[in-house]
Amino acid sequence: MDERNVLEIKNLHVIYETDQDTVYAVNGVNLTVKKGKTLGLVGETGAGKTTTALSVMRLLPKKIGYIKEGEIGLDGRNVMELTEGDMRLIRGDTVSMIFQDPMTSLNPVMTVGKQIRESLELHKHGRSEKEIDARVDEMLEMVGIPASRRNDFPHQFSGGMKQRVVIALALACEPKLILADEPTTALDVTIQAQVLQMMNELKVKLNTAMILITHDLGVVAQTCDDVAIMYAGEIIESGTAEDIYEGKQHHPYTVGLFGSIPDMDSKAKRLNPIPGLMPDPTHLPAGCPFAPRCPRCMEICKETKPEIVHFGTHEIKCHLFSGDEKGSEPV
Amino acid sequence: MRKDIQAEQAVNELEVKKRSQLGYIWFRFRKNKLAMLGLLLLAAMALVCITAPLYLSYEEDVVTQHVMEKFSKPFSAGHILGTDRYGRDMFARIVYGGRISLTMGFAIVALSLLIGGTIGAIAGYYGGIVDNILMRLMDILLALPQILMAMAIVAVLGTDIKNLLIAMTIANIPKFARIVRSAILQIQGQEYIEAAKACGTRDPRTILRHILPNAIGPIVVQATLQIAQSIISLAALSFIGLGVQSPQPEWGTMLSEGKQDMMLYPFVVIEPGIAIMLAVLSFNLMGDGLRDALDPKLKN
Repeated sequence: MDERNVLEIKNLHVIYETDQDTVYAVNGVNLTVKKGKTLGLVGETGAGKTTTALSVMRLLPKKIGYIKEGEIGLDGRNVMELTEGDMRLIRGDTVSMIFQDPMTSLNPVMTVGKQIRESLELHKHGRSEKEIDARVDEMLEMVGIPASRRNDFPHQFSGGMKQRVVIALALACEPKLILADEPTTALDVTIQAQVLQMMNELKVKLNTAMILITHDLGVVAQTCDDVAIMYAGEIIESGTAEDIYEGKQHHPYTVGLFGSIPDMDSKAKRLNPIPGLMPDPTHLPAGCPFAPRCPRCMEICKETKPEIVHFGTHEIKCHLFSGDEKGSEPV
Repeated sequence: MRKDIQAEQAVNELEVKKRSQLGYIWFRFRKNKLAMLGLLLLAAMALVCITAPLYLSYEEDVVTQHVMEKFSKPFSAGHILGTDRYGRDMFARIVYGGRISLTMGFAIVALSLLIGGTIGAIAGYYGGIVDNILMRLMDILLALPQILMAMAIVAVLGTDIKNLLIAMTIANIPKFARIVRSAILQIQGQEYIEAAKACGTRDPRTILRHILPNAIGPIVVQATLQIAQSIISLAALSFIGLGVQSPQPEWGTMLSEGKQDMMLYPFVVIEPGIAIMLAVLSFNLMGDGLRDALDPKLKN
């Protein structure tokens, strides 16, 4: 594993097995997150973004979710080979997670101070009781909540403040990697901006790497260094934020995603969605998963899976570009 | 002067902030008048029962027969609640009966909550085959009416207080197993449990610190109702002669003994009946109040 990376996922396959069906949630995902950098993981609902994040934590639903294949290297250790006990020491310490909905991700009968404290108690690193208390106050202040409110319960906070508490909780042990699963989806736009800005500042301050899971391309543009676009359990395009936002070559799905953002200048009366739905994850098509919805679909797309085409840091998984491989992107 | 007042207010506010969690629960409980009534009644009964040996002699007042004074009316000299057919003081017998009823009620529920709760927590948290085996066992226990099962166990083990406790505990276990299991199942799916796991908490800690406190409402209510129910069941067992044996007083035993005289001297059954009713009622009132007080969302 590369020293500069905090997370390396190689060829990850995750399935959910129920009595009736097998859901192929993640199919051969490759991801790297560099130390201190933010990766935006973009895709529509059900693309496998959260499943990928849960695999890193090894918190897939018991007896249903399995990692079938693949390697996950986290801070120099292979997550797949760790015992459950070792894994527990890593959770919250090396890697922590910010959940989507702050309304439900805090325990309603515990004061916020206690909840932050708990994570610190579990990963003590030789801190004394007093130091832990001080750290709880420090974390609250850091996310802009007066330390005097540590004895309040979650329901006494507003949604934005709750999400800050969740962020304080996730950052308390100074993890090397944060998995932020749609941290701003449940918040309104002004609060969203505040929370994102704060996360950015804290990330720089603590030199934490982050995977930001979202379906909001605007959020990605504001915060991410690298971007990976996910569709039906595969990463179909990835690169630096510049590659994705400024590059000329794109996967048709990415084009569709950008096309469906409302444009202030055009006089369109309706939004431009990508027609169709994501393929049924229990029966994925043989070829490219996007083929049934793709406006530029070719015969080959329906039968064979496309290979990754590299343009420097920019990677696209599409037949349209096969053979075009170059050192850098054509201008 | 004004500054002093402000400073004082600030200090007061600080104190409010500092109030512990138990303090908050008490604060909210106190606002509920009916629950307070239940608690006071119960405290009074407990106090009278606990201190009974200080002012009553078990031998003299409770079991010794004074035939000369039989069926004294309530409020007659020396017998505030009258006497039964053997001239034993009703008040003394009710108080000593209460010592057994209240202690047994608590003990039965505490034991069955501990055992049943553990079974339910394990079944709910781990699910799958563990859940299946444990809960089917509970279903077998549930298939028999509680009182019938207690009767069967007492009949096999013999009538004595310890066996009665065992029998009633076994009969109560499945109820608590079910209620704790369902609470755990319901709360386990919540995101904050996943979040707790994502912080690296162990299974026992997740159950004890994150799941159970969220489920405490229904469990506490069930427990207090079950104490009341156990007192009634105990009285019923005694009534049919399988519980506490005469001459030892117990509310059910007293009802049973009094039934032959109730046409002429109704107070001999009304008095223990009222004792049972008051105990049950105050437990129920207190249970309701506790449920509200334990829910921080109802705070303020």
